[in-house]
Amino acid sequence: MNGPTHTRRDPGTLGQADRPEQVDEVGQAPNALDAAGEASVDGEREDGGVPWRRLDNRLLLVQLKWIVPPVLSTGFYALITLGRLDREAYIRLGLLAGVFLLIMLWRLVELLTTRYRVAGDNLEVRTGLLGRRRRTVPCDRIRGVDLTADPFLRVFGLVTMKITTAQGGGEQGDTSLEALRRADAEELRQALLRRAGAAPGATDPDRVIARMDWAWLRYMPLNSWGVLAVLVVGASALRILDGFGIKPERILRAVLGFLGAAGLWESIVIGTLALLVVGSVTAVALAAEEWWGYRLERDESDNFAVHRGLLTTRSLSIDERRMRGIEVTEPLALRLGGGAHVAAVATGLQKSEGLEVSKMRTLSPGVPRARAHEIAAVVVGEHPSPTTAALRPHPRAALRRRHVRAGLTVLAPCAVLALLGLLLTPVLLHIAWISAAVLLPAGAVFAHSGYRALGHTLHGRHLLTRYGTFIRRTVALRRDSVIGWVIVQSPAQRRSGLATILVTTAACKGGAYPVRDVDLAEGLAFADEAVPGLLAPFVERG
Amino acid sequence: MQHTAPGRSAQYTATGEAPAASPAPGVPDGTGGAPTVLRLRPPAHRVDPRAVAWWTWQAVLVVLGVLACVAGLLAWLWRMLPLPVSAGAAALSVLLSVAYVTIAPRRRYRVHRWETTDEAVYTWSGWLWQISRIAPMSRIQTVDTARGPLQQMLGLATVVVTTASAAGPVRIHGLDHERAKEVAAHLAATTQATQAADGDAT
Repeated sequence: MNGPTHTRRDPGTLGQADRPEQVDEVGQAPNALDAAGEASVDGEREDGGVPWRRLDNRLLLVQLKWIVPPVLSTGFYALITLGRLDREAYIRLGLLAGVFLLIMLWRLVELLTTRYRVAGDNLEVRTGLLGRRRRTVPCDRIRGVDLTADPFLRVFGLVTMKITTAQGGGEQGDTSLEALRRADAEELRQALLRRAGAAPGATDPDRVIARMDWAWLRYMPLNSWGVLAVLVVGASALRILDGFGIKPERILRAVLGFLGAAGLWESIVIGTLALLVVGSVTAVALAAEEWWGYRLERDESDNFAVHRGLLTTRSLSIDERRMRGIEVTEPLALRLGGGAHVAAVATGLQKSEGLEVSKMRTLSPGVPRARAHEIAAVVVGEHPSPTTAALRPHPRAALRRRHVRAGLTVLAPCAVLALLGLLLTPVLLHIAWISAAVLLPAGAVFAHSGYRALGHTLHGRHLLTRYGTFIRRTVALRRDSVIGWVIVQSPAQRRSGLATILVTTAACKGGAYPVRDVDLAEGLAFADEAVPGLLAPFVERG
Repeated sequence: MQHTAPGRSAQYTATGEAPAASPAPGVPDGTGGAPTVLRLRPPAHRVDPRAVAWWTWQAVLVVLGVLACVAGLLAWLWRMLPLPVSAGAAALSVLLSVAYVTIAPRRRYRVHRWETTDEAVYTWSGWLWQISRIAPMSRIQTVDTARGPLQQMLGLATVVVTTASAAGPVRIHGLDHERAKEVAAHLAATTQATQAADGDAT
């Protein structure tokens, strides 16, 4: 399972790709007529030959999902109160049901009136009963076509297609088509990506770059999302119950009593442990759901495609021509466990409504660090991966800066506490010195780790920068994708001859990757050499 | 550390990318012989002296807002704080405000500089944090001029140069309005010429 490459040919998919496309032929016909000197017609008529296509009618059934929340909450409440619903509860539940019914109706109208077609080189989508909206997306602006299916859609064999366009393609954001038949969606996706210019290259026998290895399960508890999810869900559940007149304290006490906690300290310790255990289990469950059936491959059109998901399946693809490099990401806990993620450095990922950019970029779950570099190597097509290149360390002054910053971060709140302690009560004074004694060494450790993360170098056609105390990122960015330099010096940096150099690029959500606290002269030499000629007219030597 | 590959070179050129493309004549390429120290040279032009007045007005507006907040806070905490504390806080905020209004604009004027060549836009800005930006002509997407009410009053304008990066545009603040228009027109023309061959790296 863990091998770097596996051949997997899906005869069905390939057959589909080979099949000449119906839409295409019809789309060409009117143009041929035009060429033959047929009387010119208006824009509407020009592509008139291409029929509009509807979404699948099973969406009617799918939309019944909106009834689930009110039904569930009614059932839940009835269960808790043992069926004794008072008038207030009826009003509450009635309102809830009403809101969800309205949402359902609105979505139904929206979806039933949606039509789409590929006409010429555009994808056209129109929606709406009263206020008609019509959107034309030029295929060459399409940067990615992603298919997702939540459990409701999957029951009916449907998927939702999300089409991402280039930045600046329109402020309304992405286009999405909900409830397409899977086969239709695959066909449309191939058609769109082919028109987007990705020539269906020679099929590589080694298309699969990585697939799920359940040994990676050991990295999955190593993130904070589990604990966070438990806290959020727990808090909102308590709030809702509170709304129905059930006191949160009673439940907490019942739970703690069930776990066998008696005193205050015992409750805190046992509660924390229980939270950690439940959080880790949740983290594993969430990650397993997210990465079930994970497969990273090059698809027929040479795009990088990630397939994953248990309940909600996702197929995300990134056009190879949009790739500008690769990033190996090591969040603190994962790094301590020896694991890392791989993320794409690509343009056109800046905005997306349904899915955060960070998730769209992620090419792998937490995997052993060496494996992450292997995947990175295959994706950028360079062995060994540029992300394993030896990096140049930054001056010791950068370490000093981190120590000072960590010290101030700890001492400032402690000083305030101590001041208040002097004025009010000695208890605060004790809290102040105890927390300073505990947090200062921790700060020093973080400062050191943050300093060790720093590094930069040039490696072939990539430039490399590594940074980050809590989330360490090793970024390999193609040198030809650099679109400028920003050199920032704070007063403290000026005194110690350091600078932070921002490598601006379109392939970054924040707009630039930083080379933090590098020696100014060395940073300038690095920038000058990374993009020959750009910086040279503006530097002096000597 | 995981990165301990052998052959760590003292020079970036170890990777085989020839730095020969570095054009600037008469400038050593920094990779051979004695180590040279690189510095950024200041861009050629200062901004218009009226920019000091513009920044001063801006600072005054900011300071008035901050002082109003401080005054509100002190009025609210009047009964709880001892008089010396309130008076000290008030005096300190007034002192800092006066310092900000008098020092920051002049310092900005000393720092802010700009230059455009046929290849790039080069600016210096900031006062405490000093920021140098370089954007190549070939990667410029739009060039605009912008004027707020204060700038209109003083006959100034800001040239805004955007690239495909989300890091924000390169701005040349506080140019004479006419000069700004010329600069923008020149930039737009040069950009068009250079981009015929090259894309904007989106």
